[in-house]
Amino acid sequence: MNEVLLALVAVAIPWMAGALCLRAWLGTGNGLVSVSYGYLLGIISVTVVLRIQDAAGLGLTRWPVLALAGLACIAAIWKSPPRFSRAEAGWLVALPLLALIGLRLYSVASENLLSPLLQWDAWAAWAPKAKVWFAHGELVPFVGESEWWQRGPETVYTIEAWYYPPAVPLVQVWQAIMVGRFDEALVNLPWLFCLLALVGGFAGQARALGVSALHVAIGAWILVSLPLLDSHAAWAGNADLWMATAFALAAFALYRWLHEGDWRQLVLAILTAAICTQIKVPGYAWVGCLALTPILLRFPVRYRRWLIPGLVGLTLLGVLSVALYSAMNAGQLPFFGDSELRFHPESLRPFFYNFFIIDNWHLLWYLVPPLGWLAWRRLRNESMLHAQATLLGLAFSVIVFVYFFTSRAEVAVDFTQHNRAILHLVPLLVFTLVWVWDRATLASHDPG
Amino acid sequence: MDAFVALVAGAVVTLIFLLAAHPKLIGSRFAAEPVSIPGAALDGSPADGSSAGPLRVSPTGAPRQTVLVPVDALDSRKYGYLRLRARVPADVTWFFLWRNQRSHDLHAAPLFHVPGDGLLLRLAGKSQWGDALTGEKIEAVGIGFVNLRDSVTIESLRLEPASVRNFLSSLWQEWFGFEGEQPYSQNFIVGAPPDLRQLVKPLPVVGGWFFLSLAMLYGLARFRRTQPLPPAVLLVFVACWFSIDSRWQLDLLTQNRLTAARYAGLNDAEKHAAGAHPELVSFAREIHAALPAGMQTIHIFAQRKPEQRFSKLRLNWLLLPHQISYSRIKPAPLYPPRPGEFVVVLRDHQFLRVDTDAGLLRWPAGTPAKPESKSLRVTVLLDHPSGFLLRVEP
Repeated sequence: MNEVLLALVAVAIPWMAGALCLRAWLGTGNGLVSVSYGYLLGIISVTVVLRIQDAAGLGLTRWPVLALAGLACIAAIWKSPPRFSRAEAGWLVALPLLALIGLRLYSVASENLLSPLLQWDAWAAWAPKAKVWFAHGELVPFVGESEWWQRGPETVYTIEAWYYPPAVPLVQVWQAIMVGRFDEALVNLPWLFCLLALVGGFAGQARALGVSALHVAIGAWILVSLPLLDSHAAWAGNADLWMATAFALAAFALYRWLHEGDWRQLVLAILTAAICTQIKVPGYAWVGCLALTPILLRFPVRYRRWLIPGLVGLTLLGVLSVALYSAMNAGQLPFFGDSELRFHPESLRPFFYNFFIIDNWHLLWYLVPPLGWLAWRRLRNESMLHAQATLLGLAFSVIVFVYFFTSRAEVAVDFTQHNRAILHLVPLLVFTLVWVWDRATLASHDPG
Repeated sequence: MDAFVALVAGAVVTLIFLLAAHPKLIGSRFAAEPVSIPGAALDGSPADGSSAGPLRVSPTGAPRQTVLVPVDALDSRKYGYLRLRARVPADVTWFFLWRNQRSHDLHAAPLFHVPGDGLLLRLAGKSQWGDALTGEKIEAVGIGFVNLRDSVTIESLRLEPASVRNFLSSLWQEWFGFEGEQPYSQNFIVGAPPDLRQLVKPLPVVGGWFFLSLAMLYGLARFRRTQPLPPAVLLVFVACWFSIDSRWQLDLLTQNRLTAARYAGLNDAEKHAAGAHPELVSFAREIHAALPAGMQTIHIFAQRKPEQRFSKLRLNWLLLPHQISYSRIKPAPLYPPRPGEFVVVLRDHQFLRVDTDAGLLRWPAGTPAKPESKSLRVTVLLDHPSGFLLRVEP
């Protein structure tokens, strides 16, 4: 029990520090935003402090993190004592939905707290680094197998995924440092709270953008009930839930910045986008999409008629360059390895099957055509819709390119990867669908 | 009120569609008298001494246990369903077995778990069993269990003709039956389709119900020359989403119960032993015990085959934080181990041979470029059913 308590404290301390600092910085009316963004920023800050500790030769101990978190909490409370406004609690009206959300979280938490590391990538790709770093008390290097063999007796390790970014294993190292041993269940506790942060960020930002409390509660229920999202929090250890959360929180902050012009939301978007790059390699693609969105939206009106031909031209140029690079390098593409650029129609079946036949996403993809039609009919002049559609369009273009035009089609056909890439975008899609429904039916409810 | 009417009407139309399609879905109509087989007949040794009683199957420790009964050239085309009455815990992996008269091959199809003690299996239809059963004459049927830990009871098997009632019951069981633990499978985490294929997937049916209900709602509104109210549309959506989500929630609650029964109160090592692949866990534990103190360098030699790939990665995880490399050997080690380092060789490696008498690890001659690479001098530290632990000698 003590260990469970320590694991909870390990989650709570960076979360509290992050939330309080953000609350002090963003001001009132941002309670949920502070709590959810504060979790991600707090826990990733811990990994940064651990890296600094290691570089400074201090070893991986808990005290520097605890001291810094404590100082941050004191400073934040001194500047702005925490108090939630009445408006922020408005979305609590949908109690039955909250009960369903609670039941689902109970099930997910029960699996998260009892299961050892079960999923293949969790124990084969992500957690080995955490286990080794915790055992050595330092960030010993992971290298490719050839270099490992050449370096002989040095303390150096090799796994297939040696080049993966370190943030996710360091989250587990932090849990292990606090608990005092590497427990396969307790190191995964932050995944459960990552799901909560995602839902909180969704709800907070949607409310801030004027979505009604009922619709926000329905959106949160949709998000929490998606089977594939649940499974990543319940049988934790993969990086995709973190990726989805960081990307979604960055996107929501970007929407708010574009809508309200609040520079602090831009800073939040930049920080959470930077976290994307520390979680998984695809994070770089999502950061590219996030960066392109405001550029495309701010394109001067008088040049917009050139926008689509220009984009098509740029895309063709990009495809040609990649094809040329591939031809000159014996079919090797950066990030994709041995790959030949061609259309893979065989990817259509797994995508269709996943969206409409097997129950990974419930009815989510069935909602896209009617709500897309509704958005086109009633909201096509809304700038917020343009922002969301641009980002979603860019992100789905990346998915289409990767799984329909490169050799990654293989991992779509055998169902081992493409759903996890879709998972990164699903929170954005849920946000857009809820926003569209809310705006399109605005006349029938009180937006406050 | 409109939403309620639309939902009911949508459900009725969906059901009519399903019933209209069912003869096509299950192949055709079947007509035959039911055939009942008492559990005891499956191995001829009834628990209570009568030949018509249930059969109690106790664990023998063997990885697979089967019970089979011969049947007299049963024409499977006449039977659409198999009703199985058994008391089997939800964490048991079990299979329906049958032997075809034509090929004499034994076939197996995974069974799932449903609340209560009656399981209705669909023999008819194309997807659930492949083509191996439908349209065949069968000479034996039975049940197989994998890694049975507790006793189970089989009361009876009963072959039944196809009927609308059986069709709807089996559909219900296929949708709400627990799809089984897949602890090392990637299915839960990547969303691949489960092995058990349903005749009709629930998602498109609920999707159809959703759109039909919406159409009814719009139809009602048109009839009254108004627009459907957004709350009514929302209610239809919430009802449909709740329906499809309840399957997943029930599955999760069953999984919660099994996980708690299996892992609650255990430490990591005990959890590994209680989980799947206990033989690999015991191999890793014995390797840890046989190695000298301190961090050691270990080479795990395995092939590309899926089982060996799983074993080497899993061993890597269980043996950390030793320094491990798990290079593939085909045909010679790419990164040969040095004297003083350790080698783990999986028992069923196709190319490597451990010569315990000569103290050599060999691979086939003629394949490596360098003659001295054809063998390594080793000391066998551990000889385990899963493989060997060797120390490389100078």
